[in-house]
Amino acid sequence: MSSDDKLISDEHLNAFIDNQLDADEKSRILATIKSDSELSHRACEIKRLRELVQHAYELPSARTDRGGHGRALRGSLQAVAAAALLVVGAAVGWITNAQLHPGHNDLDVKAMYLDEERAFQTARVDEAPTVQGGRKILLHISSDDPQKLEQALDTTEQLLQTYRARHMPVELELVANAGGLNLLRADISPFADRIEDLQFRYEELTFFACQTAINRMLEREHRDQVPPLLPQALTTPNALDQILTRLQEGWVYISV
Amino acid sequence: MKLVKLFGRNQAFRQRLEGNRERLYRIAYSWCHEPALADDLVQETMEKALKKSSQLRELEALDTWLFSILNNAWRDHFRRSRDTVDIDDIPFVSDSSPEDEGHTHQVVTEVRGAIATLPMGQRQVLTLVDLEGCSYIEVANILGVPVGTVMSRLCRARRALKERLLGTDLMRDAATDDNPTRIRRIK
Repeated sequence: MSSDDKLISDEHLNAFIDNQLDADEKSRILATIKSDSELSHRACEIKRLRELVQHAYELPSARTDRGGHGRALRGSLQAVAAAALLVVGAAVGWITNAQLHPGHNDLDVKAMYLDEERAFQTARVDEAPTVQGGRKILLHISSDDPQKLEQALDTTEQLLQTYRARHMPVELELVANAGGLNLLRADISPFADRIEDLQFRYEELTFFACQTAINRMLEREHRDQVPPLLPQALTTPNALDQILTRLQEGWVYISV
Repeated sequence: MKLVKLFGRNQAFRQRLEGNRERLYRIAYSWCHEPALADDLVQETMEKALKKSSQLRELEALDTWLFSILNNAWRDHFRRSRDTVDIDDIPFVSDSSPEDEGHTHQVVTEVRGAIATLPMGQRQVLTLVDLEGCSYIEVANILGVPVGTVMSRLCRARRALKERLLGTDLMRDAATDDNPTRIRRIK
């Protein structure tokens, strides 16, 4: 056991796994986990125990769970996400190639997810596993094509509408990076009103702009001023990290 | 107008109450491991919730509120049978084992068996956090104990579970899988 390992008590590590710590504390523990295999092992054990408990008392049928609302990033899975970053290169290719296939049926939308063995799978969004009976979806937009931006909002609205009508808990994050940032830029977004309207109607929806992409844009365009984002947009340090973390947490991934 | 609003709220309340029945049952069952008793506790909880519905100010707080009522019903039941013992301090072992109830799946049986040996206070915290995804503060409110107690009970519960399950294959994944994420298929 290393000295850092000793500094992090079991109570603290449990709180990390259960996502009960503030962002600074989470980052500190995550950084230690990355460099300390002993601690990483302890974190994995706690996560495994939690999965076993959940497995031992699965509900018999479709449920109306709230799906853990009120919890932001789940620390437990961040620990595993650290390992997931090892496959980042392959995942980039996979993500780049993932396509959204809107169809005539209500939810004929292809989504990706990690199965029980943590292998990537593809399925219609409805057929992918749920998280405690709730549907958690990350929608990723990286193109500046106005049609794609609109398609991202259409799909978002369609998913939220459908699951609300079914009384199924849903949480949806629309994550924008690269050209997709245009969607959330207050100065040029063609859909500012629609985003405001969506946010007003669906509190289970969160918009994220990728900070790494913003920094790159500033560098590329030799600007020192961050363009204003829409008031509904939050920032995430890195879209790809967010995607991988969410996948590890059981979310499904849809690329527009 | 107020009447209409009140009616609407009642409808929404009843619907959400009914929608919570299975979740209440799961938690009740994980506490007592007796299907009939779990049913009774859920029924009692639903009846009390209906009677006291006016006390619930925000529908959003329904989950925590319902689990508090379930906890009270469970404590009342426990007190009726064991007047003098603090249920937080004693291990609880159900008369009927999970096997008797027809659960043949090895994982389910072993994990439930391990959970059944935890002291009740620890078991309640563990199941509310792991099954319901409650925050520590929510659990503290539901059970009426300080957050520090929630943390220490949870920690002790997971340590005990780990010890009990270490001899089985169930912890193997966590023990041997250094890189749990791999890609099987890339499209």
